[in-house]
Amino acid sequence: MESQPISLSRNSKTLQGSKVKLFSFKGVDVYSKKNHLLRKINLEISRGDFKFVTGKTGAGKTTLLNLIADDCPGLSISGAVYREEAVQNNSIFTSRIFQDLKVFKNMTVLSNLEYCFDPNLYSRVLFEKEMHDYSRMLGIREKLGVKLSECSGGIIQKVAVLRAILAKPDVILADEPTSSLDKASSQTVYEIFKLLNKNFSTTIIWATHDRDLVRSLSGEIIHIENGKLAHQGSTCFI
Amino acid sequence: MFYLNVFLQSLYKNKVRAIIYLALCFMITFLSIYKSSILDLMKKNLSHLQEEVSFQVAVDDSFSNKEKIEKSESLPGVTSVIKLSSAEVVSRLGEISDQYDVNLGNVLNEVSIYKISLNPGISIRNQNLVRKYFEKLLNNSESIISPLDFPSAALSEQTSIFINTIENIFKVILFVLFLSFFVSHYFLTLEIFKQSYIIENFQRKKKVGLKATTSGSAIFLALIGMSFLINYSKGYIFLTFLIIFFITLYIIQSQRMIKN
Repeated sequence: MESQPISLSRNSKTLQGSKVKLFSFKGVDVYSKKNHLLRKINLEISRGDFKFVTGKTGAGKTTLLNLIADDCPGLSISGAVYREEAVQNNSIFTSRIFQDLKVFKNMTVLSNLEYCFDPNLYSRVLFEKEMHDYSRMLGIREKLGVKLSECSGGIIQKVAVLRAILAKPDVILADEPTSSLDKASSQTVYEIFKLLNKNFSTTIIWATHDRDLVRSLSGEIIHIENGKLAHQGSTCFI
Repeated sequence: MFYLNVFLQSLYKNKVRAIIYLALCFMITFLSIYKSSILDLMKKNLSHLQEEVSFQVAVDDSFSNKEKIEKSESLPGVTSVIKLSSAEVVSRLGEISDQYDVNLGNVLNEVSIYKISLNPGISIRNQNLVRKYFEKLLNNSESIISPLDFPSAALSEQTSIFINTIENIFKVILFVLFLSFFVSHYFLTLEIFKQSYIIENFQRKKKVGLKATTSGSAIFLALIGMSFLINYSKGYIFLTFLIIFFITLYIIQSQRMIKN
């Protein structure tokens, strides 16, 4: 890993540093047409939280992230769902790292990252500076001009991670963001997230089924089994 | 401008779909603007089969009022006065001259033959009046005026059916193009909505897909709409309704996609 100090600048005007409740779910059930996906979920997520969502494949981690992101097409939801008003009007912004990545493989790394360029947040110069800084940290600096169809799975995953970071979100919902990465790269992603969490109170919700990874990192965990919230607490539980 | 840019970028990034979409759009626009011109041109080219009424005048070369004949094109009801060339006359009368063993070359050296075409829209009485004018004009000279030559009714009807068929084919082509345009638009929209989903997840914007497709397609639909407005003030209400119908369908589809 190229370790070079980066200057992370933010112009977020929203509730920075304060422990504000962003999401709250009380007794929430989520159903698809045939399955009961989440059962009686009681969960609170505040500004500055760093939480891992753990559980086996199919336990309901992705559904929980979709529930938090209010992105549940075709699903029925019951129970009390609370979202901070600023979340609803996008002044507290949530970006995502999708499990299926949702990148455009017919485009270059750079073109994919351009989707995050919001002129209301960045000047072009600042965007390019941050893009180069982060891509250097993630080791994809030299790949910016390469088409994703020609890149390895690890590089594509790093692009998805970088895209979520460059959106300058207040909340990052990361669904298996390191599933194709080696241990060192996973550690780098964790360090970047930790840096964002510490410096800008960015809320990080990280879903993974990799117990070893969680054991090696520090944070709170939300453990899900068969759609039920089995445990909330520190990673020591793992 | 941002949303229009998203639309244009998705055109650029989906080149095949974009080329089909743009080609269909311009074909519809071109056809609807030039349809009447193309049909008019065809009608004009077929008019000699369909509508022409004419008679021929043969005058001795010594006739002093030839200029008056040539200037008679400006008479009301006369569409053209053409001096037939010797070769044309020989080719038309070749068989007859062979039969009667006449050397037409010698005759035509001393005679000028004119074909006077009349507007078929004027009454037979007026057509006869024009012919009588020529009779008076040529009263004291050695000349021959043929009777009025009307087109064959069967031929005229065939031509008319042919033109009507072409007109109907145009309408069918336009309809098919229009349908294809909306199908290609739908597939392009799918791509835009994919991209807009990503934009909404990484930029602080909402309903990007709907706004981008609306602003982008508005330009192309306006282009097509304008071409219809230019050409058809009435009689194409059906097509206008068709456009409205598809726009409504499109909005409903967009709403469904947003919900999903």
